[in-house]
Amino acid sequence: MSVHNQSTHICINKIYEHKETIMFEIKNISKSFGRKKVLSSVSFNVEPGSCVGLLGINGSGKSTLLNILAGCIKADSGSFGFTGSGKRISYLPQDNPLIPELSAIDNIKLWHSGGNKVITTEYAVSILEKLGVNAFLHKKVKDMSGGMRKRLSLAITMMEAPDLLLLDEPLAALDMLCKNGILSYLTEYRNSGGSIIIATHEAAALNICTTVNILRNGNMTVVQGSGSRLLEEDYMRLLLGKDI
Amino acid sequence: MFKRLILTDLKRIKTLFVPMLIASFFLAAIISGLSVLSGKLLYSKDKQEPVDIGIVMSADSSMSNMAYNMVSDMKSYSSYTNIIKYQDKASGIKAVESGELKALILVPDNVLSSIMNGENEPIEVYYNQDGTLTTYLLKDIFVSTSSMLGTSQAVIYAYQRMARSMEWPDEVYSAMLQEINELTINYVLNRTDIFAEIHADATGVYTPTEHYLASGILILLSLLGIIYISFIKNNNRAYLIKLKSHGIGGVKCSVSQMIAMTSGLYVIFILLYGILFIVSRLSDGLDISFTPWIFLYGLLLCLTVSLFTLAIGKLPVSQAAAGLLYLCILIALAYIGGLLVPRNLLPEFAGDISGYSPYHLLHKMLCRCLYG
Repeated sequence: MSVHNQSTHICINKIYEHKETIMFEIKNISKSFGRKKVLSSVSFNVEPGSCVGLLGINGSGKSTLLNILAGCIKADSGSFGFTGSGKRISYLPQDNPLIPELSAIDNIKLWHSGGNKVITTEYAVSILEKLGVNAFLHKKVKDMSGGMRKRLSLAITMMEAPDLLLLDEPLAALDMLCKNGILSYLTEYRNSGGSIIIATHEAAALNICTTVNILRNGNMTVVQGSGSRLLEEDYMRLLLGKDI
Repeated sequence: MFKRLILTDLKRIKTLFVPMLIASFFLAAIISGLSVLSGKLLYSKDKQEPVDIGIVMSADSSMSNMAYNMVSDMKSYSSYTNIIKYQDKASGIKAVESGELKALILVPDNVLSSIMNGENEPIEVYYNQDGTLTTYLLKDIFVSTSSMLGTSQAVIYAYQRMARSMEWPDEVYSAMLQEINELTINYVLNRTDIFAEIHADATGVYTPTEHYLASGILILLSLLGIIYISFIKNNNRAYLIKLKSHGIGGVKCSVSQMIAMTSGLYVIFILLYGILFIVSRLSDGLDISFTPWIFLYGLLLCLTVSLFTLAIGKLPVSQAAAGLLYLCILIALAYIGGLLVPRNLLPEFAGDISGYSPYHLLHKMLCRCLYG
């Protein structure tokens, strides 16, 4: 999975080389469900080639924030968007957004826009090769393992050639081999100029993060630096806001 | 994106096509069998047995035997009575008492001459006292037959008086009297045979087979909708969220599903119609007409079924519960619409609302398209 393909690397660089100045800004986003305040004036920026980790206990609002950024639900207040033009966001929800009765290739065709000039066939093929999806292109989703499904889900998310990738628990319930393969791909994507916001509980996923934001009671605490630095600290205290 | 979603939904429907086709042919076989047997199922024709009536008359009475043969040969009587000859009165009465016979008629030896001469020798009739509707009907038939014979008797007497007053020679008078007797009796007895026989079924202008064939097509296509519930329910939340992130909300998603489901059902409908049309050309029992309206009707029917499936499929219940609910509503609608039981046989409350049922309207339109 972690084999570096020279042509793939060049291809990804080609797509992102003109977007160095793009920045994604999130300003004062708030969201409530009934009386429960889930997000309270959340603000942060995402630089090109960076990976922002979202940490928080279950129900802290990580998925809600990603749903808002993906345009699936509306925020009560606040704004977000790219500072440049030609923006594209692609979202991979927590569960796999796949159609079980169809094959991998049919699932890919749904999300791969042939009419988009940026997404070339070469680019699409490189994603499939890199994630190892080409090995089971004609297999039905219902017959696939959890790892295969997750790799396919990431492939269809990448088919949109996003400037910003929103990932909700992409490593949940995967074995080490699969996790490493996906992290390797995401690192390459980030290094080629792509931006990532990743909601996760996985310590391994924090290693690729350049910034970690901790959501607690609707508020956000920003921990600058790599995710690995956070691991060295007492992050349970940061998550819960108190000593255990 | 919307176009790609429709194409993907069509692919999904295609994966369900083979099980749907197998289910269709299985259901079609059952429904065809029921349609053919529908007449018997509705009216229980097997239970319509002729009534046994005994008759005691002298074997050497030629006039009585002539009358007996005439009556037993009449279609109207032979369809619902078995006239059994008994040699003596005692054995005949015993048969009535034991229930073997519904009635026993005792014909005097000189019955015809006594009628002609105005002596009116009584004809005794013994009824079984079982109190059934058949016995009451038999009494009425005998009374009405006697009335008819009485009318003819009056005509004969009138001619006799006229002939006497003319003072014709005896041989001319006898010949004329004989001719009048035969003519009058023949006309009276044959009168019952000249009624036009028209069948009036509970299924209206269509035969029970035609009615239930159309019902079968409607029920079959509706039942196939249950298979589509899995197509609606199999969309996980992540898939719907991702669609939404591409600007495909619930309405667009439902429209795409409707298009796909309608297309799948339409193919099945056209296949069914094609098979029925070919079968009707090869056999005499079925007459399926061809009209271009059938294609438009098929589209309307498939759209209706798809809409119904979508409405049930979108309910926030499990797939099994949705399937069960779908089946219950389908049976209720089919019953009220007169698909299972013809409207004329429905209870009053169901009959009143039947006219407004969508299935009734669809059935009416399908019958017009199929049978002209």
